[in-house]
Amino acid sequence: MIEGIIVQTLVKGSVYALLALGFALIFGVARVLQLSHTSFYMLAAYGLFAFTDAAWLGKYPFVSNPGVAIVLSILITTGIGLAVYKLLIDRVREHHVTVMLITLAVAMAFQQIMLIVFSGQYSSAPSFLTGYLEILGVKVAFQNLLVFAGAAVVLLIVWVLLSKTRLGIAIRATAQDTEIANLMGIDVSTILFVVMGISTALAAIAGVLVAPTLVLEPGMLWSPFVMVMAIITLGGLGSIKGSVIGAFILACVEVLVVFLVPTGAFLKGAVALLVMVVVLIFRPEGLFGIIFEEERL
Amino acid sequence: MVLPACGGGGGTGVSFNIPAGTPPENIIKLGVIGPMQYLDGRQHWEGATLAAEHINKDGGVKVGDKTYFFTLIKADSNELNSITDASSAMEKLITVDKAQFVMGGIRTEAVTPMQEIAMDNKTIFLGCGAATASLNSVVKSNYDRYKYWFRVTPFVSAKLVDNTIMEIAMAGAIIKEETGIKRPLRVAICAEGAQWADSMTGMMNAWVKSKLHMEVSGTWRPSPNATELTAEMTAIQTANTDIICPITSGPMGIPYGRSWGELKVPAASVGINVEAQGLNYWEATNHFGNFDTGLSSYAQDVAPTPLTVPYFNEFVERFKEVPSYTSGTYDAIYILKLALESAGTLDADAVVVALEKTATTTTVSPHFAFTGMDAPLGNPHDVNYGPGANTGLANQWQDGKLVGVWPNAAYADASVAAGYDPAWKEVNYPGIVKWMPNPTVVDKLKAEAATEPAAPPPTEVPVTPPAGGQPAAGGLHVPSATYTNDKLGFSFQYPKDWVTDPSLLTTPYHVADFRVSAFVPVAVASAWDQDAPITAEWFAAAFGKLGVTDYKLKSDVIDDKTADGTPAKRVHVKYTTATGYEALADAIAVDKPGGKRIMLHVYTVDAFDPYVEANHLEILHTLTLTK
Repeated sequence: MIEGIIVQTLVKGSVYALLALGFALIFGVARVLQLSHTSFYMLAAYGLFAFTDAAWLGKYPFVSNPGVAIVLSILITTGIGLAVYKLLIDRVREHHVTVMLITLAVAMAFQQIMLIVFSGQYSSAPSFLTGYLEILGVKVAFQNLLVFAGAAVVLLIVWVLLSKTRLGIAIRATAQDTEIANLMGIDVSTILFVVMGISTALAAIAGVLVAPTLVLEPGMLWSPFVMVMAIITLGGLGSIKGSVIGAFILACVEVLVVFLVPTGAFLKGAVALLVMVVVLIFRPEGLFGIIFEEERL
Repeated sequence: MVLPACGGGGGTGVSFNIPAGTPPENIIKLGVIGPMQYLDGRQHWEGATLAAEHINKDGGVKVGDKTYFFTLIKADSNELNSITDASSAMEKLITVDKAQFVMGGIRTEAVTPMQEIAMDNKTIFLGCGAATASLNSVVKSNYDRYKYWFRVTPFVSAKLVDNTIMEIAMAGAIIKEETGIKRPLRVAICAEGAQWADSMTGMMNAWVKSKLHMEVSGTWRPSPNATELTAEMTAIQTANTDIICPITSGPMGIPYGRSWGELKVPAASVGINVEAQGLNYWEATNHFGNFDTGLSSYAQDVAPTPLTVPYFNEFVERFKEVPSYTSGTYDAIYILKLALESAGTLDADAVVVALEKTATTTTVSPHFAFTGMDAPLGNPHDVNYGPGANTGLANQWQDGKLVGVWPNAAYADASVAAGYDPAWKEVNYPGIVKWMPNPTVVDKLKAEAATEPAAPPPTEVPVTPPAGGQPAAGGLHVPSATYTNDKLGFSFQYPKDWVTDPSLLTTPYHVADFRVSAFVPVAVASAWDQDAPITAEWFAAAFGKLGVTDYKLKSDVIDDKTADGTPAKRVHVKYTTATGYEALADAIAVDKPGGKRIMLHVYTVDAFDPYVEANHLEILHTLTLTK
């Protein structure tokens, strides 16, 4: 049983980490509580489904090639994310409550648009890889391994980007103090735009990676939405490291519920949230966050 | 001649094949309500559309000396996402759109308030989706208010469990036949965490053991909206499962099928998976749903009645989808037509009486009729079920084709062995093919059978205590646990594997309860003031205060005593539970000197778990007054 718990935690945690990382990034740098984050995950998943649906792409088989479909889905979703940022978020960025309300409305709008376009019929994108591999006696679908590997690579790239490149230094400088970064000659506006692009792309990558393992339906954004909120709160708002570790902690809690309390498997999300609450009672700033009082100084 | 779309406001009103010039007063407005953005609601509408078109084209409905035509008003209940949306949609459908009859609904949580609105307005509501018993038990408990409710599809959830048990019995027989395995098969129950599945899960747990003599490897309750189930599937396989029984009507059915197939879980999948009834399932699971088996109402080329195949084919050709049970709005409208013609009036009360007498052939039942007030499960106005009437079907995906596999007369012995009516042997629908186990479970069990030791002689499990129900020296005849209430000063014993269910403690009088998980029997302790002697009248009043209905004492008040020798009174009672089932109960009451009056009663629903007086008395006689 322990093997199953470990393997499933790694797979589930990697998806949560991808989603939470993007959310933490945009909050940490731009202080934007981007509540439409998981809607980009949903859009990318639907994008992959649409591009690989040979029924309407009979004339354009090139587009339905999985590699092309993935790239197109990520690019288009990222483009939509940037458009949302530029048109709706950027101008009210300093007003946090307004940003929250606008991005929540954007998420609901995307859900309704998908409902109109694709109806509520449950769909599924084709797997890139089929079959499974036995790890420690546990069967893991190749697609889930791909999710894990993809997430690991992307997390590594993001880490290198942030810690080893000039762009990363600029992003971190902006995250630390926008005004000082501006005085140092960093084009803060551009940096925020780029960070929004990276954040959306991370959500889109998560979407295309897991789309073949999920049921696609317009409401699919809300379940990870709640978990992402819990993860970044648990990890510490804006903390990249905290969001990744928080993702694996809550994934582990969910998997433990399924294995140890199977009749309460539907409560796994609630139990994960409860764990978050308990942690926050003893450590209100989250595992790797900044204490609220210090933050205000 | 087809009229253009008309009226409807938020709901979309559409008329089909109504002759030009038909005056509005000769048009009957039928409201079709369901989650229209989803398959279930879409099929509500599509089934109704076909029926209205056919009836109008064939000359309409003769009511008295007037000819009427049907128009349909679509109402999106959005009930899969919001119960309040469903209530609002029903309110509008009846009060604004002026629907004269309504049909549809799917989720019990939403249909219950929708039912209340229809009853408030004395509007006939033909249920076409929700299976919960309580929707019909209210007809019995309060006929004048709820007589306008009738269920056309599916049949009550308890019968869905019967079908699932028989489906698994057949699968088990074929698996044993093909693999030679001797040991009891192990069944995992994977039921979504929704209200309609709660009681079914408890019943499945009990009946897999008692009727099928199989073992339960575990019970998993994922969210109905779960979008992936790899963790659950890994855990199910770890539990050494041979058959998985899904119970799901939500999107969970798709990741369930895909994970099961992709991970080649060595277990057959036999149960209820509504998503697997649709053609979309094959592609949505990337073909991994092969061999998945689930209850259904329709199957390709399977003909329970002469109407089935023509309807099935027309539906598939028109809507490019296999009809599911919510398309039973088709039958609902035909049944309503017959009742209207029989009543000779549109008056709802007269049509109710006519509906109660309607008997006809539908697309799923050769002899459709509604159950009467004496229905065994206490569910009048429900679908009559069983051999010769509505039996339901089971479909299996076999290499890309959705084929009918149950009821199969060739394997009906397995159902009879599980305690079902031998008449099932006579149910032999054209088009049924043999169920096929998935190769992974066959390979696993064949390998195990090759090394399996000879089967040990069956051991008899005592199920009945000594006659008379006198207190056993050591307590119960099965492993027991003791409940002690220090504050009120009493204790009693109950079977150790029973669990407490706080949802049953609904009044200030309730103190404690224990039951077979989500099932019956149930033991309930309650505490009362000693404000009147313990008489028949007091027992009757007490049951009334406990929230049950139709309570009737079936015995005189008997002098008895508790385990510690305190004089007590006992009675046998029949009543209807809050969930709508007819219960048989035994109760014992005793006055604690200087304290409260303690009543302990044990009840069962005979149709599910047969009433055995001695078993009840054995528990009652463990009641002990403590200091």
